[in-house]
Amino acid sequence: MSAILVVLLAGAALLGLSVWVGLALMGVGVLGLDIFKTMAVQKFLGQDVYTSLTSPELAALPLFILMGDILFHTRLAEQLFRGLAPWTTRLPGGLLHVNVLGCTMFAAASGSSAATAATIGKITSPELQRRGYDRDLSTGSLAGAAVLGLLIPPSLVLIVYGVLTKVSVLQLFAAGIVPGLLLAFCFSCYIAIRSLLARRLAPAQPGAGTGLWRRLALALNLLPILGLVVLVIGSMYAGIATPSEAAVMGVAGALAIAALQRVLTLRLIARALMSAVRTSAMIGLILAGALFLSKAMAFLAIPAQAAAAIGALDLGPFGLILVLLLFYILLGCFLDGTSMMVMTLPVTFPLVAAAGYDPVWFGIFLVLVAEMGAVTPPVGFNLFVIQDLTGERLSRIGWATMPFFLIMVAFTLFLALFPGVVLWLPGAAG
Amino acid sequence: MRIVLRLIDGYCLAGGILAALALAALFLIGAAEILLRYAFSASLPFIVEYNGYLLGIVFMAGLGYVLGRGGHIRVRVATASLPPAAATAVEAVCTLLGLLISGYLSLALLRLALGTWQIGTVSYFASQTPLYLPQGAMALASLTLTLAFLARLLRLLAGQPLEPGRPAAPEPARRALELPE
Repeated sequence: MSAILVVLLAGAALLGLSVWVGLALMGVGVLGLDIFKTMAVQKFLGQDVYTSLTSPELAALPLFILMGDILFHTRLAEQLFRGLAPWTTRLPGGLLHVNVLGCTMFAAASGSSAATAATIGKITSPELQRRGYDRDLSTGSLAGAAVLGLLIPPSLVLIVYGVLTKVSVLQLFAAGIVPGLLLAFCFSCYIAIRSLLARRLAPAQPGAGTGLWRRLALALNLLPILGLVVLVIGSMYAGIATPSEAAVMGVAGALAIAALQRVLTLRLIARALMSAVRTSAMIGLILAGALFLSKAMAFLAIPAQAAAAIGALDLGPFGLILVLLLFYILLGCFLDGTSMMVMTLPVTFPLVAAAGYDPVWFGIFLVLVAEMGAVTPPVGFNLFVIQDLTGERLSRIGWATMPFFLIMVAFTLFLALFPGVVLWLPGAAG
Repeated sequence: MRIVLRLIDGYCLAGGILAALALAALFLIGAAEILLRYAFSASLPFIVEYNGYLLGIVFMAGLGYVLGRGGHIRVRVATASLPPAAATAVEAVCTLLGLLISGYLSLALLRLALGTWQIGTVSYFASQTPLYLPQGAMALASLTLTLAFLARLLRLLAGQPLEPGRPAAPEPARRALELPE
């Protein structure tokens, strides 16, 4: 057990001191191997980092980031709002549903939930505020719905999970679609119920009854994003593109949209590239550290020992998932989703697989818990984005998001009881 | 010291720009491969291999540039509300540890490249690229991070702002896109 103790203590000390996460993980790995193993640690580190960061299956990661960064500079979100808004005015909750629908559609063109929150919220939050919608319900529904950015493919977290566990990214992407749409439906139902109970939350809109033809004409605004979705997701499921190739097509599609909207300039391309490099370097450092640490832990036999210790508790499969859910919610209050996932996977993945859960299912579970982390203070990145957009206090946004957080918890338990919801589509897709 | 800081900042910025160019190349080569496959049923034989090298540059060459902009993730829950003196001490310890670990990594990659160069290992792809080339590039790329930590330490000692590249008041958009997922 002593190796476990050293790794845990060193990890807690370095992370608690606020050493950069990727380097902290790397340092813990080096320390553990140096103390407990007689091996050429530095040689192993060099070889491992080089191999990890040059593995071609990771190429989808920076390319999907680049696609989102290009789209951010286009008017895609305005178009989404114009196309979707007329269809929601008759629903209880009105334009609040644009948060959910907009995030759902944009999620299919974006791999990240923070970027989804920023892109959609930039348009919806001033509109909703101007029309007198309840502030808490509008910020909460935005923070909640942004989660779909990661659940609905493409998804950066699922790419990382796939690379770490050798599960097919294509299957993972397929697995996210049905739960993503169901969760969006749950969010919309909640908004509708709240609005029916208290009419003041979503004031009736003047000129709500736009005619059908007018609404259809406005829906033409949705064509660019739909085209992009078909290009990216369609090409993967038609079997004509790997995730990396789909990402290349996504970048091409994003450039085409920018060109059609006449905003495509060298300046835009340079800004999008530099911004994508910033995100890629940030994820790259964490990946390098986490991948090295996970191999170091395997050398130290830590996953096996932890599995034996937890196995002795005799939790049963559902009990294990409950414990993991609580563990990840707690961890998510302090860590970002990617770090949390890569740090814990070497131990939790074999445990969950041994309990009989499908690796594809566990990927979706992890996305959900990572996203719960993104909406729980004090460290919740979606909350930070919305704070920047609205200027509200973090604690108030946190409370406003709480109902959506609880819906996610209930939804995760539902998926644990009925894993078929997740596994049906990847099974059908082969 | 001003000259040293300038040189380091310049090296890191160059790394960031190189990473951006590598990302553009990754896209262009990927697009060329797809076009060739559908138009001429042809394929670029070197694509898998070079994608890997470019990817390494995309991830690594920007490391130092991103540190200078405050873009790498740290967990600041325990240290966010320390009194100024303690905060500076913690920052000094963190920066030293960062310098130590990133320096160890740079040395590891450098030794890997040197070892490969001495043995003369080539890649197992048809191109038979001498592997010390991409490995050496990765070592130089990782050096941006080590040097950025050195610059951070110097700035800390001189009492200068630690992250001069950080946007002063980040517009929401900027900040959101730099957030992790």
